[in-house]
Amino acid sequence: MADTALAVEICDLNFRYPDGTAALENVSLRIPEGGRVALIGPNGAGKSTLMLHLNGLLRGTGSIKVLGQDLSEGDIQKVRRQVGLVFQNPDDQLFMPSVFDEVAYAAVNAGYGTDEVRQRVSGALATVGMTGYEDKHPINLSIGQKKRVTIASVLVTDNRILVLDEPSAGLDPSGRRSLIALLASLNSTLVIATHDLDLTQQLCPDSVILKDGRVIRTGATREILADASFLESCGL
Amino acid sequence: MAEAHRRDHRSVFSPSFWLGLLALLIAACTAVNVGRGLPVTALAAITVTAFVATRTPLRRLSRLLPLFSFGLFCFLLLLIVPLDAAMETARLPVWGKAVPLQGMWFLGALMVKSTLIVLLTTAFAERLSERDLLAGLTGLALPAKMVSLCYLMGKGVRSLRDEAMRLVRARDARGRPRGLRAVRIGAAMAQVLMIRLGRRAENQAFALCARGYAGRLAIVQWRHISALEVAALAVCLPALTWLILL
Repeated sequence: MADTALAVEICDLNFRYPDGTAALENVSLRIPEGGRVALIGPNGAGKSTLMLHLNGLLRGTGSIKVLGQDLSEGDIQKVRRQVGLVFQNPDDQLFMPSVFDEVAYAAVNAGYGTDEVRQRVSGALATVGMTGYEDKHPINLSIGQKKRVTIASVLVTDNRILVLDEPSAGLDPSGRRSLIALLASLNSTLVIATHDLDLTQQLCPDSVILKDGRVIRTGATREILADASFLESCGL
Repeated sequence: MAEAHRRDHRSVFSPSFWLGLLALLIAACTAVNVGRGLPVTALAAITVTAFVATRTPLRRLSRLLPLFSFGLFCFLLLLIVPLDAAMETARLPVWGKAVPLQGMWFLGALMVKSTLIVLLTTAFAERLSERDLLAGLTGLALPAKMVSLCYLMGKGVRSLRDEAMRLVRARDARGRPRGLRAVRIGAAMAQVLMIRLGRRAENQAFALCARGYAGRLAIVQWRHISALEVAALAVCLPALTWLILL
């Protein structure tokens, strides 16, 4: 990947779960600002675990810098305002009693005034095509709508980095197309963990292949996905 | 531009008022002496009125089942746990066993008070939404962590129902077990339910932290409690105190 200003710089990251499972081993990677990178790997490769490290929710050994800020020092809340994390299962992410409150949550925590919060929420909902749903309870939405609300909830604070875990999982073809169009229109750095190789080709020029907690290949998506024998050896 | 979040026009009073009133009624039910018929009858009448006024469906009475199960369990404990023969206490003969009268009285009082509290909470919950709960608690200027805890516990009930329903559906899709096997399967499912709830709670915690949670579940645009409502609650307090001392 081109050596421009870095959004994410990870060096020798290791992480073990409390039960001793080695989830990440000697992971090193660099993602440029404005870059769009896919994290590809079979189930259990460590994609979700790696994503949870990007805003300090999990802490392994090694070095992680996000937008130049070392996560082991300094203000983690400041990093979390820059990094928007979208979970695979939207039900894990939605905890407020209305769509408006859900989307407004991060903006209120960031200290914006009521009028500005309202404006930002309207803007974020318009971006994801959910205007008019402000009063709805998130639990009553379809999965596609929930996914859009979760994306709006991280767009509201102009996150410079968006980290998405399996964003197309559970979506119908139409919802998937809408999602791809939406993500393509964003200016943020995108890090997408996915099994959806079509989505990867359409959105991410660069890919990182993970297997058994290790980075086994990085490079241009087109080249990697053209190597069928390599993909098969990785369980993809 | 349309208002991003409309105010609730269903109620004349704010959520904070209703929660404050509920808190006062719960305090009255807790403090009342069950031995005095008039105050208990008055509180029961208030409870029934709340039930009717909020048009709470009768099927909500099923929420008393866990309470009555607990009461039955305590009663059985009183039967089973042997009394110290030397202990000087009045005893009641129940099914050939000597049960301490004081214990029975305490259990009875606990059940009466708990029933009133559960029914009052059920009636008020019929008209208060999840948002009203969060807004009302925030408006009462309670400590932020207490507000978070109360709201997330209430939300946890919904998560519990959701996960339980998924497990039951998964079980029934492969045939419903009968008899003793159903009990064994139920116990195994309860174990899985606890694990899934734990994982869900962990993911929710991640989601909260990822969006800057620092002890406060912040919302904007809700109906604040008015000075008139505070005055009304202030009047209710001595009124209820007088009621339970009747």
